[in-house]
Amino acid sequence: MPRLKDATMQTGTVRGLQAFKFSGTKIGELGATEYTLVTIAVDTTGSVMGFDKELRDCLITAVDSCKKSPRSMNLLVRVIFFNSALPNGIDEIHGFKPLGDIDPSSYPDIVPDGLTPLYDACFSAVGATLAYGKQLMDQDFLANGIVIVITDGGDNVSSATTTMIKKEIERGTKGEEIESLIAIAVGVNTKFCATELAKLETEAGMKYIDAGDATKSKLAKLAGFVSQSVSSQSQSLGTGGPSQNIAATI
Amino acid sequence: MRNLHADHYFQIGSAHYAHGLPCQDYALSGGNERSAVAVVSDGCSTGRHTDVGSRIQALSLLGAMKSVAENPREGLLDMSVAIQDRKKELLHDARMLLGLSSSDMLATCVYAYLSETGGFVHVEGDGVVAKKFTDGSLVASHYEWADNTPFYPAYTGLDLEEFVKTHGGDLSAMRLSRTDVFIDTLGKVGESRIVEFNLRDGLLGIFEEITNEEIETLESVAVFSDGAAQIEGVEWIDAVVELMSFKNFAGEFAKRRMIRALKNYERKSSKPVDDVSMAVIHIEHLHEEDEDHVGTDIAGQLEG
Repeated sequence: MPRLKDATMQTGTVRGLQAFKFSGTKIGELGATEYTLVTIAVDTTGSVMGFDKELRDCLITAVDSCKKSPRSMNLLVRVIFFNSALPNGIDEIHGFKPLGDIDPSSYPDIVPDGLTPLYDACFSAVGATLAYGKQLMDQDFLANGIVIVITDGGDNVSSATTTMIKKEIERGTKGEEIESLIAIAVGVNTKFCATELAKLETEAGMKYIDAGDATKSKLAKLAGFVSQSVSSQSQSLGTGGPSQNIAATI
Repeated sequence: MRNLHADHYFQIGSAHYAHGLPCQDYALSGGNERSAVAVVSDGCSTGRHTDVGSRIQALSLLGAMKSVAENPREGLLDMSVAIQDRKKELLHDARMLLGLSSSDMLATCVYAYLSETGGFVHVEGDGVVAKKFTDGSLVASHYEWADNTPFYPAYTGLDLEEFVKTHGGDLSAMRLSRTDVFIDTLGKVGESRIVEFNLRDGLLGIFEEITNEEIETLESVAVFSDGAAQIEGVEWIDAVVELMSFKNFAGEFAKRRMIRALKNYERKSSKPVDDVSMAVIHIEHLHEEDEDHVGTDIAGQLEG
């Protein structure tokens, strides 16, 4: 659920039965001509225990690295945690915000708990990007989006399905609500769930990348991958299509 | 109380793009707590480096505006004359410093200035001036020179005699016209009115005052190069209405509107043939509860 404590933010609802909520900076507060909407969704289920601190560090590094991007003034970043112990399975750490308004060091510690509403997280992340992107486009802004979902396990509790995610992504690629959309699932520690996670590519239409074990160095590389992918997608804004330069491996 | 926001944008036209020519239009805007200015300059296609000339023209205008603002004149007309005088000095200095020829400097200069006590628009050359009111109505004025041979400020003191000769040599001849079109609150285009100016008036530049009372009724004032009147298959007044259909006024509001409008035209296979530029001042009328925020939004906007 969005945290409604910031007067500069507005809230929205993702279409669909689950009615996932999200927040974003009030459109009237935005001054640039174009924005890339970035969502980083982090799995905080019980299984990340043991590398939860490294995972949080990875998230902080990724967002901090985005600040160094030449396109940093044109990024609006949203961060969500997901596990079934959270209300509706998702906790919005912050909605779509300019990087200058984000202090990644204040991100809460990850408290591993619950099962994995992976499809819900993907569906709501894509849906929120489309909903907010459409609002931007309707107000003369040019917008595209990138969703990166980091997980260490297959779905086991969602109400959304891979078909639903696919339909949302297809809406994003038609260019009617947003110029283009890239949705990436990154698996860590995937020894026992690689096949399951691969469904995000084969059935849901996301790009799936296996990051390997959740070691400190791998997670550091993952942070670099996130910021590079964000920068690349942002640079493609205005071309009419998604970035063609997203790395195939980490 | 009111708050002023200014923004600008310019884009190369298809004819220049296709022939490997640079964009010869330029636009600038700026403001502070007390005043705002929006200027466009359109370089002559048959000049030389008029892409440079148009930039110098706009930058000199802004520089002159800053100089005069430090020592403001009593009346708005006096202010515009002081700005013109200072601009001429700056143009001359820049031309000498950069070793430019008079044909590099052939560029129009159309600007709007608003302050706490009123404002004005000043037109040297051709282009469009538009005022949109808070009730949604709009009045737009298209300035055109006879034989598509506009006056450029750079002629003054250099090729003025030749320019006058080109226009027939009679300073009292009507060689500049202004077509005013009114759009009502429902968006319906009313009857147009044509006002003619003689050559002498055109050489001095057309000064049109905007009273303080009128500013109270305005949403925004915009100046355009004549490229706004050269979008394929689009009437100039329709283009102006579209370009002034702002969705919001934060940050680069004019840039966003123009990019989207031109993109929409492009989807319908309409492109700006000539370079097109616009500069806008938006007047935010503050209510009592807003007044605590006066000045915070426009601080640091002054450019150039």
